Amino acid sequence: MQKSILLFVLILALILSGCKKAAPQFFFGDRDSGRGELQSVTKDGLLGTAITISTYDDISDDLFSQCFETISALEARMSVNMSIDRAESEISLLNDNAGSAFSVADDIYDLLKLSVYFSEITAGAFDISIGPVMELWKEDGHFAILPSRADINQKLNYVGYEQISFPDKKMVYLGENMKIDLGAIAKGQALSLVRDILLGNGVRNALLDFGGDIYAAGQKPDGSNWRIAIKTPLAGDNSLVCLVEVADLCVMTSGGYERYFEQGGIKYHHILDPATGYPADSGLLSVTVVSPDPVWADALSTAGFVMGMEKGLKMINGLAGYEAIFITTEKEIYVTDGLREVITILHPDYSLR
Amino acid sequence: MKKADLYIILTVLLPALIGAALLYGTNTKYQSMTAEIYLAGELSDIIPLAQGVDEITIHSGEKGYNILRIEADGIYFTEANCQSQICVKSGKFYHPGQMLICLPHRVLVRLNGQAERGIDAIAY
Repeated sequence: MQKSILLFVLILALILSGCKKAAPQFFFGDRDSGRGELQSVTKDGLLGTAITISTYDDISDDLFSQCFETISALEARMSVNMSIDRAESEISLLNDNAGSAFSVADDIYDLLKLSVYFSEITAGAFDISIGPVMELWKEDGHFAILPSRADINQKLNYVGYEQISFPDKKMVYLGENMKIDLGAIAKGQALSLVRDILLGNGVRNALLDFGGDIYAAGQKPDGSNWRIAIKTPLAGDNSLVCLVEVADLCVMTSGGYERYFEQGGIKYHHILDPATGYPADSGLLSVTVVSPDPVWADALSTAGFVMGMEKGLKMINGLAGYEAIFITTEKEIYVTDGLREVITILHPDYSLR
Repeated sequence: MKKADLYIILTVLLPALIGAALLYGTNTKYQSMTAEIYLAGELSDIIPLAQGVDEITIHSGEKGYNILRIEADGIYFTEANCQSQICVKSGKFYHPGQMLICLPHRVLVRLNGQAERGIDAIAY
């Protein structure tokens, strides 16, 4: 008996001290390239977060700079960042001209049209015309104030994608007092642009991390997929909930745990339900969309979070190539059909349904 | 079960299991990691996490400060005089590749080390 226990302990010790697998290293800042190492550059203060671009390919400092300049320019044009001069922001100018048709650049025109299409397929759960209500909740650009119900109801009169129209090529019409807020797709659009720049310059693999929203371009040099873990959807908890392997896909999450404030013991998060003007309360902690297109993923994760698990899951299951992970307040994980076999749950408190 | 069995379980197996739990919790990998502190985009310090419990005050701008606490199982901001307090609320970090960020102060702390389970990035 003693012998067998001792043997067991010995074997256990051997297993535990055992072999270490070779794993990728994370680096920060410019590194020597061209040796198959991951080189990675991070910039903070863009799109209200820190942005990291990494690749195993040999790419120039100029190309990294071009990516960051593109994000910065997009941010200015879409007026996501309040500190930017309004004259530079095409969306601010469009908002100032609500009530009359206004000419915008082609890419903004396309993005606005696409946004209205998202509103249509999500029955208004995603709506870029949330602007007038969103403003009430913000102070100096930060989601921080609880507005009065009367104010919210009054501003809700100016929310509604049906009042956005496209009278002519390049021309956009917003109803009186309407305001566009592209905050819910800014990161998606930025990821899409940076991916296009890198792939257009012959980069074969890249990992773009825009404040936790990720696009994984290509595969790793050894031919394996990128392994993306997803953090638990709770503030202050940095343990990991699940893992997916991806190639040429983005992983984008909307949740109520990132930007929020507390007042009177109640947490108010930044994803507003366009129907009520209040933070969406659909029994979800988060929605993560895995898809080829970051703009779609950004919009669909927001919409899914507002719609709730049942409606959201049904919607995304109906879109070919789009997958999603819904995590409920009960810590139950629901996934679209295509993810069921490939997701790995890492956290004992969360269960796959 | 014999008394001797119980003795062996208590003196050998139990400590072995506790040791294993500690090793496999986060410790071995965590201990070999470093925290790189960046101020306004410039590397200002590299701290090996094996050095043990410590508190570091990071000064930024004229009056800005963030207090970074290093513990045996993670690092976190205990205090900062920034407006948003997002950095303080974001909790304890222990996975390689994760970043602690205080945007108002432009303070960024990145955990460097060997990835766990071959994880390339952490989405949130």
